[in-house]
Amino acid sequence: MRLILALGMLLTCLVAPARAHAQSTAPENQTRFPHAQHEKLFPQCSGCHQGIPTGDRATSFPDSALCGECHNNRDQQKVAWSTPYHAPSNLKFSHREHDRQSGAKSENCSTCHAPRSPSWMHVERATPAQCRSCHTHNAAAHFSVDNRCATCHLTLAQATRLPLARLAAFQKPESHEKGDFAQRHGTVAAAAQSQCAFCHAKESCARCHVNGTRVAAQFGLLADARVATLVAGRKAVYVAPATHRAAAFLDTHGKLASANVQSCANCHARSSCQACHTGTGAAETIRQLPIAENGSAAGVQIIRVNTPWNSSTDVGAASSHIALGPATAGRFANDDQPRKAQVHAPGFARTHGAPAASGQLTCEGCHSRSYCADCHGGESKRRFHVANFASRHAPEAYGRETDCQQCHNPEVFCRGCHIQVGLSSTGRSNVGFHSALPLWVLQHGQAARQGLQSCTSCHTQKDCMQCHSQSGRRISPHGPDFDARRMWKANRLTCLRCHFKDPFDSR
Amino acid sequence: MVAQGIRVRGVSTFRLLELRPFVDDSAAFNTTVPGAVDYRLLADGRVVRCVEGDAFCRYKRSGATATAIPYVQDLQLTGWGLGRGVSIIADVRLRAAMGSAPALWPRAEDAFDALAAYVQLDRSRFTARVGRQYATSGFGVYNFDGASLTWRAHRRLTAEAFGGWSLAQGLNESFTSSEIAAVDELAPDRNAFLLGAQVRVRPTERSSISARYQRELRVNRSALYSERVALDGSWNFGRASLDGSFEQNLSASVVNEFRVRMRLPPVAQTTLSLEARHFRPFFELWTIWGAFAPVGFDEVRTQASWRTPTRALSIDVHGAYRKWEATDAGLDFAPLRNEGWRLGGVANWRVATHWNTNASYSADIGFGAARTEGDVGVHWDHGRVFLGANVSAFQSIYEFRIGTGRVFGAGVDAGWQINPDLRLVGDAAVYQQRAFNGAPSNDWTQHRGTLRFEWRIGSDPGAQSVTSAANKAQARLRGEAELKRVAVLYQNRLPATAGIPEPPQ
Repeated sequence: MRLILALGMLLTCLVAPARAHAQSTAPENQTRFPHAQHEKLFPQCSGCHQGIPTGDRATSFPDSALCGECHNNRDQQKVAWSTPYHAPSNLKFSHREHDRQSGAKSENCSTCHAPRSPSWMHVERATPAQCRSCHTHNAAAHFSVDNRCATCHLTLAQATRLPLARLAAFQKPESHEKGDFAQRHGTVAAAAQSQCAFCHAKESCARCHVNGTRVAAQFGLLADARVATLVAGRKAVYVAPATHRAAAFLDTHGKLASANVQSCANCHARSSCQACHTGTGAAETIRQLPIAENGSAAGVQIIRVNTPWNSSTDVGAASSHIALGPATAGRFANDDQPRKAQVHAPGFARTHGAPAASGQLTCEGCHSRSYCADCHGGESKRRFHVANFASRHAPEAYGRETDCQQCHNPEVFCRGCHIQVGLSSTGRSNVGFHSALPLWVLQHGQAARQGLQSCTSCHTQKDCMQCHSQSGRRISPHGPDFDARRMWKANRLTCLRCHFKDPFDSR
Repeated sequence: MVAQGIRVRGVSTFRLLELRPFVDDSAAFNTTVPGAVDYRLLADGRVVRCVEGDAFCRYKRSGATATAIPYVQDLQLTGWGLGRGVSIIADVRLRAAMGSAPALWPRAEDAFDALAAYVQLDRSRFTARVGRQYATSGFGVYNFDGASLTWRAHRRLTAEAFGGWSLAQGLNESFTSSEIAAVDELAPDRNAFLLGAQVRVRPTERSSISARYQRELRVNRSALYSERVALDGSWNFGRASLDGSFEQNLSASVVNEFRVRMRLPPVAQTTLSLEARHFRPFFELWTIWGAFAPVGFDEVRTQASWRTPTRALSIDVHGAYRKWEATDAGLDFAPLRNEGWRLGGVANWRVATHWNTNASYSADIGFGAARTEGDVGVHWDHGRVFLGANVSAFQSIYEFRIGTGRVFGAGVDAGWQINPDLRLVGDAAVYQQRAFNGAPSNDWTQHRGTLRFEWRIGSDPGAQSVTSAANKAQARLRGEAELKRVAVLYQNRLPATAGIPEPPQ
């Protein structure tokens, strides 16, 4: 709504000239001459308005002495009469110039001033419709976009004496009221940019456009203190362009911005980007955006929203790097409110591995490597797991939905904690931990091969070597696909922990 | 020399933890009763371990409540202005703990940890780092002491080489540190060198591939601790995407992970993703675990997401099924479970401008342990302040320790952006274990709490300073005066935009 209002200012003026003209010769405190009452006295207009066709102001209106010839308190009651005051307007009509250019004769006053009245001296002000009947007669109305304002009106820059009150009273053209005007006003303005300057000034653009000064210059709009007063305090209004409403926009906005960053600059200052691009990523493109200049709008405000704490329970797909919310058809909700940009889509914490590792995501454009350690560092500063995960983590540990050891050192972190809570092995087999399964000793091989990482979170190597070593019960733990030679070649010291000698030495 | 500056970012975290650690206990055999199968029970239903001929049966039970109040102070320091593109980065962590059992918090006794401390030279074509630094790759995130050089050979080609002394992943300590020795009598006696290289290529604008090779070599070069390769790729085509990861342990000739995920284009606010994964755990060669021939599992996962056009309501559901490979171990006539499945859903509803509610349910039934859980929360977010409340309930099933525990919890959380450089966040919760059944299980009745201060000192260099200023202004939900102040800051620090803008589109 506000955007429409803002952009509507461009054409607001197109309506105004008629009213401005109507008021130009009739200040509020001045009584208009009752022409109809004098219809039998004056056979010709030129008797009183002789100077109008020539532009001679001295003889354009009668002197009050002329009234006194009859209104002398003897023949008629005295009246107070003064030459009409011509209030400043943005109308540039001149009878003399009109006659010169058109070849018409202003002596035929009734054409414009009494077009609908057959009675003599039943006159009225000329209306815009009468102007339009000859000029731009194809235009549907006074404020049609195909009307040419310049025929009758001055631009704001030219109408320097037009008072603020009159400017404020300019009517808004119907075209400006249409719902999509804010979205297409740029195109309209580009097609008929000479029209804008009759009602708008630089401040009209700068109310919403970050690059308002440059946009105004492009459309020939100059600074105007009256417009500045009128738009002061009015909030900027932004409409989401069609490109922004595309589902893939957030994935492709970088490419769009690189191709035509100046288009972004209409609504976005650098700070829009830097809400998310906190590092050096896209710096070159961002640097081409304007800063929030004094006197220009601040642009679309974006606030980065951190990933929710319970991100691990939020399983949303995460191919989209950024999510902007909420946008309705054509218009962001709460236009005057900062938009919230969730840099990473819900579920991103779980799915970012491959895109980040492969370089698809330019993580270092926004983050230093230490940022990764905020979560991967084992004692995360951000909450990755659900609340009270310590109580709940057993299924995840067995099922390895995420690989624990990417963040936690299994020996120190897992076993260290299990020692403290009394879950670690003491080397004895009769303590009752696995006692729920009476055949555990025979079954544990399957459990160990399926969940060895979980076993090692409580058991040390020596626990297992009690049986699985040459110094123990000599029970081989190796599976059928165990490549002993490769292991021996890679680290024979490990082999020799259980084997007394080279297992491949047949001697 | 450019202007020098420094920025310090700190996160101060206080936590309250309560646990009831297990203690060993025993009961006279004649006080136990036979269980449903071949085990015996105490009178209250707890399972005990009875060895034939022993007069006493043994079991574990929850001991007295232990409390830990750990304090973790993270400090990230960035300094610049030491020359063109030269900066220093340090990331350190301080720890302290109080309470009756401060060691409940992992590594609470390790008062100081340097996670990173390096000097960086950043130029348009290359970045060089020397010192303790992070490596980020398909293998995860870890750090090492050494040097790395990243060379941006082309817009679509980046190569990196790195080397130095290895540090244990997730630990930030050398292999010979006392941290490992404290929990394993067979800790390594030598450190390791880390050597590796990575190449990243973007064949097209919407696709990328990376390959990374690295090996950890015992410092006397007598043995490998690991030798691995990782491949990662991502391809966006149309509105669909495909990504995948591959990790192989070369020293054991084992594929640790192979994952392919496809996200199908959204239709009517609906997105569907399919994922296939093979996982087999990775063990470094300084342990004997790799010789125990662990097996992997294959998993398929699907997920569907639906959102209203305005995103006021979103619903996500997912399901997964996994099956382990044959183990060639155990008992044929009494096999353990070798499959598992997950099912869950999350709904988020923006009730009003500042009000959000969410609810989730998930079930994870699998080998070793199982759980069903539900969470419901409501959140009020008004820019600088947020408040939330949540309730949860979960049921854990212990397959290897037959039994069930049900826990109910309720909590609140809140945050306050006091000023652009200081944020205070906290939460508190209480959990009540309402039922035991069978095997020994922790009593998870407890109180939990967290209080975290996030603060910054100093500004960011160059463009970063603009970011900081913008963030500050945004954090205040700025007024026009603030914007103008920021604008002046921009003008002072950055060149003005050149050129005349295009007409509004």
